[in-house]
Amino acid sequence: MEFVSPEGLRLDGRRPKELRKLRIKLGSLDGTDGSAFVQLGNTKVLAAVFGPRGAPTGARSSAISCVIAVSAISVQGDRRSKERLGRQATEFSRALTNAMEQLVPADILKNACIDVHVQVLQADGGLFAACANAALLALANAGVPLRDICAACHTGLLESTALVDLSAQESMQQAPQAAILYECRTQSIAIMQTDNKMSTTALEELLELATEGCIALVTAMRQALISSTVQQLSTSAPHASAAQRRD
Amino acid sequence: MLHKKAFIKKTRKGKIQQIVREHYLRDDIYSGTPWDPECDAGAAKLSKDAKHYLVADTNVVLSQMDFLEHAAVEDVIIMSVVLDEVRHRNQSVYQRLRSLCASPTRRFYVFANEHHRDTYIKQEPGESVNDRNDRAIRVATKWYMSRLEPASQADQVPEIILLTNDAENRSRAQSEGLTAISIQAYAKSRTECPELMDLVAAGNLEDEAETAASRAKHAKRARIYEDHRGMADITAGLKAGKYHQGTLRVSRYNPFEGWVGSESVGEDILISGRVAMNRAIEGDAVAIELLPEAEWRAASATLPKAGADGAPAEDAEGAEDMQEDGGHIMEVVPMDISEQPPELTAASKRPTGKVVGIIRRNWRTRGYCGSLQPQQRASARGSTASVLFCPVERRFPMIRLQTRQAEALADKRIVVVIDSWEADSHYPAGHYVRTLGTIGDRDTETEVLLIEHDINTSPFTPAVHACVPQLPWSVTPADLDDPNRQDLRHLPICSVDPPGCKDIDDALHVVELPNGNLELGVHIADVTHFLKPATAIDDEAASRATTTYLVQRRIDMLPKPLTEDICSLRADVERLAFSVVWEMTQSADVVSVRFTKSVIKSRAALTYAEAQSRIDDERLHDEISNSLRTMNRVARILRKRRADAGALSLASPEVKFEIDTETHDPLDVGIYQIREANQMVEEMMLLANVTVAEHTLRAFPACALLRRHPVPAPRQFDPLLRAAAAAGFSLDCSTSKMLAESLDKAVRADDAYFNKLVRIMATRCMTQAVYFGSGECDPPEYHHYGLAAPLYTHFTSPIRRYADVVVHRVLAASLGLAPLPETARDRDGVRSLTDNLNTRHHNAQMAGRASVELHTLIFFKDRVVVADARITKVRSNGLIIFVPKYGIEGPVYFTPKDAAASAKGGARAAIPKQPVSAAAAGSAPPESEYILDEEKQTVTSPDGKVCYTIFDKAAVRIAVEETHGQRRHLVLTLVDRNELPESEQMG
Amino acid sequence: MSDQVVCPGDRLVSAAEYSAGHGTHVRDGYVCASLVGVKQVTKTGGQKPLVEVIRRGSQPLVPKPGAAVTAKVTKVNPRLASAEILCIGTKPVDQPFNGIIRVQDVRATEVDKVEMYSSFRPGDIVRAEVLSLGDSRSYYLSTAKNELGVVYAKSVAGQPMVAISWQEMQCPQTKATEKRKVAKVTA
Repeated sequence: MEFVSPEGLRLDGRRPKELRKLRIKLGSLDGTDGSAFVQLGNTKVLAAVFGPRGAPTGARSSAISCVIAVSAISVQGDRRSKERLGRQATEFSRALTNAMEQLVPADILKNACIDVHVQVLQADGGLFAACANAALLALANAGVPLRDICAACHTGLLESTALVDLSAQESMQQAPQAAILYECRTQSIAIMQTDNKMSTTALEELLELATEGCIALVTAMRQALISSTVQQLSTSAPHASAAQRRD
Repeated sequence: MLHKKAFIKKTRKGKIQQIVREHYLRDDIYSGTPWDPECDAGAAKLSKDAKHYLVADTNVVLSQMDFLEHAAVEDVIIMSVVLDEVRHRNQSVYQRLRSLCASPTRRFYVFANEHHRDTYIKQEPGESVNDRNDRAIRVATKWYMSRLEPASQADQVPEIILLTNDAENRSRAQSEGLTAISIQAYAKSRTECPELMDLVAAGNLEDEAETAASRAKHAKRARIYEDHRGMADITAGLKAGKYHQGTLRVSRYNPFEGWVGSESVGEDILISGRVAMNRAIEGDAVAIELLPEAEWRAASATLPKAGADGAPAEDAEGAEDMQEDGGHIMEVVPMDISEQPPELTAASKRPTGKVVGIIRRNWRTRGYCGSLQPQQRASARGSTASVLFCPVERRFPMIRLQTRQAEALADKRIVVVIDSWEADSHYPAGHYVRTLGTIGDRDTETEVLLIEHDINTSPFTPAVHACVPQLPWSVTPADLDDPNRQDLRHLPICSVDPPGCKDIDDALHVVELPNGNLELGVHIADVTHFLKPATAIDDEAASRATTTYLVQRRIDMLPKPLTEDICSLRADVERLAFSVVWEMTQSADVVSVRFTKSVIKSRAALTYAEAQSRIDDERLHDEISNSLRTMNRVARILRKRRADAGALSLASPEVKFEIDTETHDPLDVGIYQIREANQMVEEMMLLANVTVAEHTLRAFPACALLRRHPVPAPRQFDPLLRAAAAAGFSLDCSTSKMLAESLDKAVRADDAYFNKLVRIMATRCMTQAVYFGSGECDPPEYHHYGLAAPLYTHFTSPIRRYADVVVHRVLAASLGLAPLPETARDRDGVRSLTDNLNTRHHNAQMAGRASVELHTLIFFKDRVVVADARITKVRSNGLIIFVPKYGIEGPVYFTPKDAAASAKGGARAAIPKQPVSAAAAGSAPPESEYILDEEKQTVTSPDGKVCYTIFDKAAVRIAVEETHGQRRHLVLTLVDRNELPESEQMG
Repeated sequence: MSDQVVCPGDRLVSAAEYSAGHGTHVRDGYVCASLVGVKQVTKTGGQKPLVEVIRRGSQPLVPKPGAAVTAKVTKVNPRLASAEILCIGTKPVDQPFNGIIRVQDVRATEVDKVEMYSSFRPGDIVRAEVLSLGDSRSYYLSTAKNELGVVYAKSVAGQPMVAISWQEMQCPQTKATEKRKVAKVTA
């Protein structure tokens, strides 16, 4: 298999450091406090936020909970492969929950809880990166205060070339792969998930590339957040004046 | 821009899946021509001065690679749609195309038309994939035309020519305003380069106008072979157990007989005759059908006779149809049924089958070496002639080809590739690739054997040379300061190698420690210090895998400065080494072992003979001689221990040539002498290898590179056991220990060489030792049968073997000196690495042997020698004779008819056209049949006077004869042993 | 206007010169945005100007210290009264937050003489102020202001009672009085 042709194109026509096409739509779900739809290539996920709201009585492990659900329509294949994906989703949900607890200020979460539900509508490569991005966008859309905007990005080292944002075809390979959730402001990695054996040099290379990818994604995500706010401002002028008055 | 590509795919498990993939279209793909104002000047690969740019379609690339590879074909645009198709259809053509595209001089530009916004097209409804791809090529060609803009009026932009042999595609292209011509027409138009025409592959040779006529001709011709079954049919047949699959292996002695090893049948299946082989050739993966048991036959008990690979060339020229219809029937049906011994017993019958389909062709893309069959009628100069090509490797069939240069090529060795093999043609059709040189010339023949064994002789690329340190090189202070590198320059280290050895891999030392124990050191050249992973030089070394030793030449794995100087542990210079140092008791029990990178300074580079004389000379008491003696003592103990464990002492008929330094002709040839010093060094290397194998496996249970020697299957010993039983001794092959013991007992009082002969034959029964990654096999399979060692690897020759380089890296990683290379972890990577190592290793050995054969021929060119010989096989029409002194083995025929026929056909060895002076008792009546007794392994003349038994002593006259087809052969003739000079008697 | 729209994590101004307001937080010496919204700077007399990020659309409703809430008392014991926060300011919450009114937070005066049972009964609707984020379960609420306290309570007979003093309420049906910490509701 040749994943990058000598002309420098990947199988789907991208160059090694090009992300897939990213589409973001905010607030598309009614009845939620915030929602985001993220499409990264053929991976489509929808995230919704409920809360912050009062914590139900009884002990809770976490004030924020993130559940990634792989919908039955998202993947082809038999039940077993879906179950496997489901298990991976559970694992990633935990990691994402932990990362979000760090991200949302403690005073918000003190006695309140936030539920983030991510539904995978279509699974292609970079599934969990898309889930994390959607979850974060939905939180921002819900107006939950965040310390920072993070982004997640998936990378892999195929035939000793580091590729960013692997497609399903690429991520099926038994090659070193790493996905990270990166906080731009602190320049730190909140989650790292690796697949297959790799050397430390390979990991370093992947992390560097993934960081670049995350920064690019953050830029796009910021843009989407800002432009949706700008749109709101222009369409709902009365609200805007109301806000002015409050000052 | 983004497109979605959706298609239906059948998974490997047979499930149907719909797959949707993204397909990005871009606007940053350039045309690569300097005429395109938008194209980045740096990316312009195509020439500005070219008269035309060529665009090749998929079929042209697939079938006309040799044409494209010709240096006169330049400025070619390869569309990515073509590349993709080629990759799916033929991986090796793809590799060749890729290397063409990568070559900076050839100006092959890859245009990613499938990802370009303006040239991507969608499949129309009702349009086939092929039509769509053809259209994509045309659209991209059209796009190119629009890109070329003359900068000024005076400029003449290159014309864009679409090369395609598909008439419909051509006419469509022309209607779209493109220039499209066939490859033949293009080759013809290149009048300045006539050899291009020869390179055009057969099958496409006729122009369309002629096609109809030739089709009619074809229709008239009788089918010679059955049609191959379709792939679906074969798959179904295989599943149903009706067919069996395997790889066809053609017998070395009889090109009409082949074997297919099939797991489903459990034993090898005999394929007898070319009709049964049904156009499969050596190495093809085939599907076969077993014949009814009544038609089963025995393997031929006779030596190959008449027309061994082909035919007398009486009517070779011109009347091709004639030739195919009549003259060559022998080729296709080589044996009369009557030739089968009438007393064919059920036991000697073997499952016999016929080829019904070909699963995978294994035609060599590098081509077959050989020469043209001589023609009787001279063809008009320059006109295209149809000739037969005769490969040097007899296992391959002759190849029909068209050439304009028949006359010029008559006495040349040439390379030819096979293009196709139609059912109505006796021979495959091929085309000429290149000329190697004059037949019989030593360099040409050496070139032939290198190509035949797929050995890369091309010089190292500049990128590889750039990785080599500058000469003169010396150990740097940085190396000495390296905390991981121990300074062992004070030790009395010396190396022992064959005379003239320049690539000294290993050196040794032994000193007595204060506590009375011995410190034994094996120091191996630290090649990995210079050979870093993922460099050009490392890739090259990995693909070459081994240095190939020919009689007069060495084809290095690493560039010369590394091989002969920087890595070589020469005397009196400081060199970097990787050392294994043991502390052992005086009785050679290992107390401890350590591995370290080191700096050493060898005191002496000795030859085996010098080392032996130092050991033997009691008067010498210098440091080196003393330590050699100690080492020898240790080696003896270790050898004894190994033998007790069941290690086999095998033998090979190795010979040594004395080469004239000026003419490079062999002056003398003789048995390679093995001294105790050789065994001493070997013992030390074995110890080092075993120690390293154990250590690396412990450190990396799944990533160590080891070498195993599988236990031979009992049936592999069958011929030897039968021979042994006939000769009146018994062999026990149950374990290597039992075999070693019974081999020791196989002696004859009157024949000192007998034991070695048996050992040589035993060696032949065994399988090859192979490299493997420890993750590939279960630990019990790691066993090395021949050495009776549970673990073994190759560590001691990194200059000439890549396996050792890998082992060095793994060992360094286990010591924490370097990270474990990425490739060593990757299971598939390790498998392809070991596969390559094993193939290359085998090829290099075979090339070495072929080189010995070649030099044997040269040696006997002007000599006739009588030599001592042994009988190793008996057949009803002759014997296979082994000549120990020269390491020659070949057939001797009883009757001149067989001999003459064989000589004509060109067996490797045959007897001249004079009556046989049969060994002891005069000549036998030529027409009568000899009687073969399989049980006793004897063959008796009809009058009962002469009887040959396996292992018998004999004497042969060796001479060289030139036969038709300009092949030279060694001719062995039985002579009376009385003619044998006393000095020539063995043992 | 779009240049004023900020995203979480964006550095707004130096924390030394400005004070962080709503929708911001301080990190590494800078006031950073926590929300997506419009940045606004308000000059406050004499002190550091206040930086806020104002969000469009719905605000997340979380009780904050100082916020006025309406809560329903669920349990009363001698030390504290538990309550469910139903409204923050004028906005109802989807799911009630838990709050407690400790005995020392019931009123501002004579704190040591407060009896919980004479201040609240389960079912009372209380206006309170968020005192702090409290412990891990509940917000701490306070009614220690005149305008805070019970605004609605039902008598034993099940009738809404009328406040008759700041300590008593009366059932209109039975005329029985019950003790409460009554809020002084002003128009």
